[in-house]
Amino acid sequence: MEKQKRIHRSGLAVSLLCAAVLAACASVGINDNLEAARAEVNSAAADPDVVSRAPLELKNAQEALNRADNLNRGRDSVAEVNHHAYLAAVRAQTAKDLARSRRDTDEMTRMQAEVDRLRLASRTREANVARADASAARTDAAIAREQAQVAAQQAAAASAQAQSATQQADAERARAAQASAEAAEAREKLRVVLVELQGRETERGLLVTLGDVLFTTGRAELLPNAGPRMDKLAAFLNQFPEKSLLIEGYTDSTGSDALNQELSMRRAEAVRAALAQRGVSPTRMATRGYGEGYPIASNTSAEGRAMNRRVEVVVTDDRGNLKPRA
Amino acid sequence: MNRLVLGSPMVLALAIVAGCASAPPPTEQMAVGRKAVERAAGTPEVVQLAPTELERARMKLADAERAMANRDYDQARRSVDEAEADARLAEARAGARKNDRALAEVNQAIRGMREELARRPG
Repeated sequence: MEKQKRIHRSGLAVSLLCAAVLAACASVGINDNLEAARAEVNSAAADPDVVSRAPLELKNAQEALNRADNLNRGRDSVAEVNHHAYLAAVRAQTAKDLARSRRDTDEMTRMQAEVDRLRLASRTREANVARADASAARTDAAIAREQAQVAAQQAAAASAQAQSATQQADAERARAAQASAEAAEAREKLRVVLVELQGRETERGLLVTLGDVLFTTGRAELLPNAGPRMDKLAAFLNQFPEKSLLIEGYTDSTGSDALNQELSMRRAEAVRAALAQRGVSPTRMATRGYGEGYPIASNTSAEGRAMNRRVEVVVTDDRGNLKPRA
Repeated sequence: MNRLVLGSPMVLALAIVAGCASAPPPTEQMAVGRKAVERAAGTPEVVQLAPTELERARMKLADAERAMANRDYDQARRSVDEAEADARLAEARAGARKNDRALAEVNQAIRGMREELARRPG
């Protein structure tokens, strides 16, 4: 029973609904413009942004829509219905645009705060970077100063070293110059003595010839006038104690070979004795007698024979070599 | 002559009937509509950012002026009201577009600043 009643009731409801729809269809013509406007207004009304940010425009749109509906229900002119539907749609769109515009503005205000925050962060960061840069620059400068100081010290040390080296070199040069001067002086002295002794450089060494005039003819004793010459020769030899000497006696071709040989030997011995007497070490001296051999002039003239009667003193060369006759 | 005499009262009667059926001239609405369209047309951002909407408002105002000249006051009222609504829509749309762009620029600037901050070590 209950069930049947409910079916009856629902059937009745459906019937009523159908009747209502039919009535609506009969009394109100379907206007596409009006329905499009309704969709527009509804979509605006469904947007919370429009409701909150453009309520006045939304209200105007809804009023225009209501007016259009009323006119439509009152079978008013289509032109009037369309007109109000148009106003409703345009106002709904205006409401939407206004809402969007205002939402944008609010959003921008919010964004501006974010921009300010970021700008501050950026500036803070820049300041930090600048501080770090300044600190790094200070450190760099300190390092550069330190390096410059070290370089200056090194330069000073190098300069001092160079000065010292220069001084050493100067001293060295002075010493060398002095040694050179001394050597030159010694050489000069030697040359002077050699000139005095009438000595000369030969391939056998330094040769000093003691002439015939120092001996009595046919004898081996040195004449007294040979004294100064012996003094000079001894002094010269004593100046060079490292040099050895060879004393060689020669005669002219007068007389027998054996006699000449003996005489030349004895004359050489006489010179050796005289030099030994004047302080020349006998160990440095050797004697030879060559008789009439190795004449230095022709024996056919008196002058030539006089020149051949002689004693030659050969002094070792710089290498200390004595070269006796082969 | 006859036709003229006969026709004149008929024309007069028709005019009276039409005049009675029609509303009075929408002088005030015309003023408001003209003002609204004028204001929109004189705003550079509207000219630039909502030219289509502005043009529609102008055409509606021109329709209204024509209807006024024809003494079709109902049509004039409808057209001028629509012109006013169109002008307001043009203004709202231009404002929304301008603000959209400004917001996009601000957003881009913020993105740039964020990237810059992220890239540079603090």
